[in-house]
Formats: sequence, structure tokens, C-alpha cells
Amino acid sequence: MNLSISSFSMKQYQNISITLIIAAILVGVLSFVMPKNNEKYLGDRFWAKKTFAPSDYDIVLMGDSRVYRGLSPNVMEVELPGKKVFNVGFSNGGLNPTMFKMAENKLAKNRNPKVIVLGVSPNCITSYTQQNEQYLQEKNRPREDVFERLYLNGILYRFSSTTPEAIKEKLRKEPTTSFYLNEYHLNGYVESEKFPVDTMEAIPSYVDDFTNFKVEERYVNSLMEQVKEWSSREIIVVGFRPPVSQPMHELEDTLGLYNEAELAARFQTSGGHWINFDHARYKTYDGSHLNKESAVKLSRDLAKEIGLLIKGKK
Amino acid sequence: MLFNSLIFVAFALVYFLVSKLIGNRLKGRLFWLTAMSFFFYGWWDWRFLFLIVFSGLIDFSAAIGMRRWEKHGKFFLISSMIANIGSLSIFKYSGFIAHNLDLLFGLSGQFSLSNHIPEFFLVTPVGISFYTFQSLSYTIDVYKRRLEPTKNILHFFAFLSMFPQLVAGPIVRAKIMLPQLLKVTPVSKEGMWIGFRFIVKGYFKKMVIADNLAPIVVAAFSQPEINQSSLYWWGIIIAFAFQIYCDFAGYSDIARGLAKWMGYEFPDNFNHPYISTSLREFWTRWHISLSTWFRDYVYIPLGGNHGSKFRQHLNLWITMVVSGLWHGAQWTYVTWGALHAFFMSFERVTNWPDYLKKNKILRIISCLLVMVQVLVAWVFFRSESISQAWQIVKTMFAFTGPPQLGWGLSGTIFISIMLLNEALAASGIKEKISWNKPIWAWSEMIFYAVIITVIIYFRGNGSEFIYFQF
Repeated sequence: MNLSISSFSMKQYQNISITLIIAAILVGVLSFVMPKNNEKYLGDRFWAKKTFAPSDYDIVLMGDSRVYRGLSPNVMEVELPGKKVFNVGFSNGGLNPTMFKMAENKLAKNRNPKVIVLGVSPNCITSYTQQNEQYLQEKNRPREDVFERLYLNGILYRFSSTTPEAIKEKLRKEPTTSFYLNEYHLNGYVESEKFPVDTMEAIPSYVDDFTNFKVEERYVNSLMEQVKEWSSREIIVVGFRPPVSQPMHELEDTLGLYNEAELAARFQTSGGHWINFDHARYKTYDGSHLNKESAVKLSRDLAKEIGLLIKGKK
Repeated sequence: MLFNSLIFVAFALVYFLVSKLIGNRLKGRLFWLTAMSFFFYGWWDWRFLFLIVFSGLIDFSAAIGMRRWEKHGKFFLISSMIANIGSLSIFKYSGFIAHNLDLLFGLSGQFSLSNHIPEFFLVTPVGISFYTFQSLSYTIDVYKRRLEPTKNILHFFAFLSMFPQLVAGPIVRAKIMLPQLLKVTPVSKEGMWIGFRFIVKGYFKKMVIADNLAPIVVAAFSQPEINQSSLYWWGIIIAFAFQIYCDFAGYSDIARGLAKWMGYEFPDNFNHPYISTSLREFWTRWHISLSTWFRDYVYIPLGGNHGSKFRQHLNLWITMVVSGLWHGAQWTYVTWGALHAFFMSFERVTNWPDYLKKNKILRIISCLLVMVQVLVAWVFFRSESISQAWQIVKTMFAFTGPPQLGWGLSGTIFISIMLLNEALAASGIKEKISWNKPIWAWSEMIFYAVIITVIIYFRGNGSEFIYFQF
């Protein structure tokens, strides 16, 4: 194909094709240097995958952000060879019939034993989290958006949309003095880290929440009913209180009216298995969520306990 | 289905691939175009299809009836108008009318008219104003004998529901579109290239300029307290002026490009409106298909420029206020239309633009004066309420507060691009370039490749086109 300027004619050559080829080269080259939008593409894909995950798991972890930031299925699968683990924690995920059904649907139908792990944060059993806002928002998204998030966001991430501000920021190259890491894993876990660490950061918002919303008996009853129902079908139900900082722990007990001892006892009576973790062994970055190192530790500890339960040694 | 969505890209690919297979078979082409247009429209809400089919069937039958029973032509015209304006009134204006009657008669509680409107009527079908006007122009033109009615229902629905312009225009008249639909025009390589340029320009305007300016404008208008800086509001309204221009002109460009690829020609809908040196000129450059529709079907039938001076001004005011109401069932839109009528009446009485035509500097001043009027009117168009608009206008002309534009780096860059574009259009440089010279042809391809790259990396958060709501 002769593309010399002198022989060029609008009608002779496929202008559109040439333009698209030049654009593809430019876009491809720039994809290596342009800033990427982790939240928008990988974050959105993460939530869509979590919501629409198939019924293919032996162990399902459910609860709120403390669960999805605190339990890594990969780590647990290493401790539990041959088991498939999935994390269905949602932001402000309540423990209620909608979420119970969603979690149970992720269990493989024809494999046993089946295990459901419940991270029973105080927040999950207050009326604040009973709307299941994030889960329903994901579930009710238009079909084309879901398709895009599930199958195209991985590619679109390479070509993240950006802003002049983001480019200016990138060009400055000043040393980072703060960051908030959210690394989305497709098994439902978000590897989290924040710098600088401030273990009191989350306290004010929880003071607000617990001032208005306390742990309520009706939600505890509903939880126990479900534990009973699952246990009667030989699903192993595991409950634990996700580790938090000492001040947060006290706040939840006093202002949130969270009675762990009573809850654990009722959980066991209903047929579930309550696991007590020593919260002092784990570190949070904001008082509420575990850093990635502690999340790995908690996942390992939980997996060991589940391993014992599966083998019937506990 | 939005032009700026991946599902539309898939839809367009299927449309053009199957069209290629259908080739020159006219019936097949019309059927495929109608079916795909219905699919495109039904994607929003399939129930809306009943409305477009209902109003289409009435207009199709009314036009045939006008010819068959000529003595009863008026009856058929009135039936068509009642059906079209009736459905528009029910779906677009029932809430507005009921709310204002409630206010007027102090109705509340169980006596409130607003509380008795069926919920379904409160959902405005996307683009209802566009296809209703398009359909109306058909029956009016047939009645006035400017057009012969089609007896082929597929032909009619292909015209009425044609997907590139169905929901946001341009409003293509039946006398322009119906003959085109009966011809199979092969698309030349040059035509493909022109269509491609329209599409790329359209996406750039919508996804880069409009979608990046939208958050700036939304943030400003959703503040509970009005910012007290005059410069800030001038900046925000300029941002909105380019947002709405690029949003709408972007849609029209994409529609024109797609039509070109389909072998059809749509008329130009925007022609650099912000370089106008008079309001009268502005309306020959802004939303041309709508302003000519109002001219031909409202202003001229009212008497147009004939009759007394007062009558001419009254005709102008009626046309502009109805145009405001066409945009939305809110007093802010009505005020926007009335303000344009006021500015145009003032322009007619004083003839001020004529005094500023003598040299370049005066023309620039004239252009700036027109811009100020358009911007003030945009405040009412965009505001949530008349009181918010009034507060903003007062702040704009108080010339107080900190000198902040509120654009940020993104806003500054994207608005500068548009200002440069308008300046180039005003200077006539664009027309002077002979794009057919090989050097320019290559530059043009590189230019469009760069534009595509910019669209990909600087696309704003995708949102609906503003004009879908009208």
C-alpha cells in the first residue's frame, strides 16, 4: 500500500482504518503511562463478581466490611486443602434473611460438608444495616452495567479514564505521605492498608451509629433461627466477633449494647459453633478494620478452627 | 439505550452488519430499521412502545384519511393534533398542570389533583417531545398539501422511529426523510469518512466536554447556600452553557454520522451558536431543527411578521414561551423562553446589533452582549427553582465576592478548548483550510486519532444526554 503524500487521495485509502490504527497505537502506548482508576474498574468488577458468584463453594464467609477486609479465602484455602472458600461480606451487610439466602446460594449444591461463617459485628444486628443497601444496589443494577462490570472492566481498567488533575498529580512525583490501599481479590477479599495508621479514626462515626442504632433482640432472634435451620440441615455454622481495637470493643459493648457472652451462648445452643479470638493479637488501621498482615493471621486462625470442625475434632 | 454505552456499540454493529446482508431490498431495509428502532426505544421501557405505536398509527391513518375524504381533512388533522398533544399533555404536563391548579385553588389532601394522577402518567417517556413533533409535522404537511401521505406503514414507522434521532433529535421533517427512505443510496468511502468524523466529534463533545463539565455544574447548583462570588457564578454558567451545547450538539453529531453511514442525510442542528452577534442569529444556529419547527408550525401560523408591530411581538412571545414549555413542565423553562422573547423583542425595537456591525471589535462586543443575554437565560433553564435562579442572577450582577471561577483545572482546560473552537469558527480559519490537500488529509486522520485517544482517556462519568428528558 503506497501511503506517500503525493499519491494520497481521500477515496483511495481507508481513512477510517488508518485513523483507527493510529488511535490504537496511541491508546496502547499511553496505557502504560496513564494513571489507573483502581476503585472504578476493579472495585466495580469486584462487587459484581461477589454479587453474581456461582453456587460453587464449600465455605462461605458473610458479614460486613470487617469480614471482607479481614478474611482472605486464598489464605484459608491453603490451610484447608481441597476446599473452595468465598467471601460474601458487603459494606454495612446486615445479618438478615436476604443476606442469609444470598450466602447460602453460593454453597456448592452437591458437595459436603458445607460451611457458613458469620462475622457477627454489632453493626450487623442493628436496624441500620437491615436495608442491605449495597447488596441490593449491586443486585438490581441494569443488566448491561453488570455485564460490563463482570466481563469488560478488567480490560477497561487498562484504559482508565482520567483527569488533568490526576495527570498533574502523577507528574509531580512527590513522595507519598499517605495512602489507602484497597486491593480487590476476585474471591471477595479486599486487602487493606492505610498510612498513617490512626486506630481512633473510625470511633466518631461508630459513636454516631450506636447512638441511633443499638443491637436489637429481634435481629438476634432472626439470626439464631437461621443458625438453627442451617444446623438442622447439617450445614456447619461458625460465628465469631471480628477483631477490633480495644476502644472500639468497649464502645460496641457499652453504647451498642453488644453482649458477646450471651450471643455466643445462644449461638451454640442454636447448633452453631462460636469461636473466640483474642483481639489483642490483631492490628487494625482505623480501629475497625484489620490491616493485611492481621487479616492473613485471622484467616489462618479461622481456617484452623474450621479444619478441626470439619474433621469432627471439635 | 445510550449512544455512549457499550451496549449501543454492539447494537450498532448488529444493525450495520445485517443491513449489509439485506443490501438493496427496500422492504427488508425498512423492516429492519423499524424493528431495530423499536428495540432501541424499548430498551428503556418496553411500555413506552405502545405510546409511539399508538400516536404513529393515528397519524398514519389520519394522513390517509385526509386524502381519501378531503372534505373532512380538518377533522383528521384535529384528531391527530388531539392524539399527539393529548398524549404529550398527559405524560409530560399532567403533574405540572395539576400542581398549579392545586396552588391556584388551594387544593390539598384528598382534594389535591396532584394526588389523583395515576403513577404511570408521571413517568415521561424518553424523547416524547421529539417524536410527537416529528409526527405532528407529518400530518400538518399532508393537510397543507406540502406532502403526499405514505400508504406503506413500514415506511411511516421507519421515519417516525428512526433510532439515530428518535429520542433527542434532530427533528427531521417528513418531507425530508420520507423520500430518502424510499431510495437506496450507496454510501461512498467519502461519506463513510464524513460520518466517522461526525461520530468522533459527537462523542468528544458529549463524553469529554459535557461529561467533564457536568460535575462542576451539578455541584454548584446543588449547594444549599448560594455561593456569594459573582465571578464564580459567571464561571459556572459558562460551564453550563458549554455543557448543554456539547451534550446536545454531540448527540446531533452522532445522529448525523450514523445517518450518513445508513445512507441518509440529516440537517445541521447546531452551527456555533455562541458566536452569534444577535439573538435572532443565535436562534438560527441553536437547535436549528426545533427553532425552524416552531417558526413553521407556530410562529408563521400565528401570523409571523405580518400584522401590527404589537401582533408581531405577541407572536414572538407566544412562540418562545411555548418553546420554553416544550423543554419541560416547570416555570423555570417558561421563564427561560420568556426571557429570550424579551431580549428578542428588545432587539427588534432597538435594532442594536445593526449598530455594532461596523468593524471587528464592535462585532466582538456584539457577540459578548448576546452571550451575556444567553447566559442569563441559561441560569433559569438550569436552576431548580425560580427563586434559586433569581438569587444567582442577582449574585452575578452584584460583582462582589472572591475572584474564583470554580472550574478547577479540568473545567479550565475543557472550556478553553471550546472557546478556541468557537474562536476558530468565528475567524473563518476552518473554512479557509483546503482539507483535500494530501498534507491536510493526513493531518486530519492524525487529528481524529488523537481525538479518539482523548475520548478514551478523558471520558467523563457517563450520563444520560440532557435533552432525553425533553
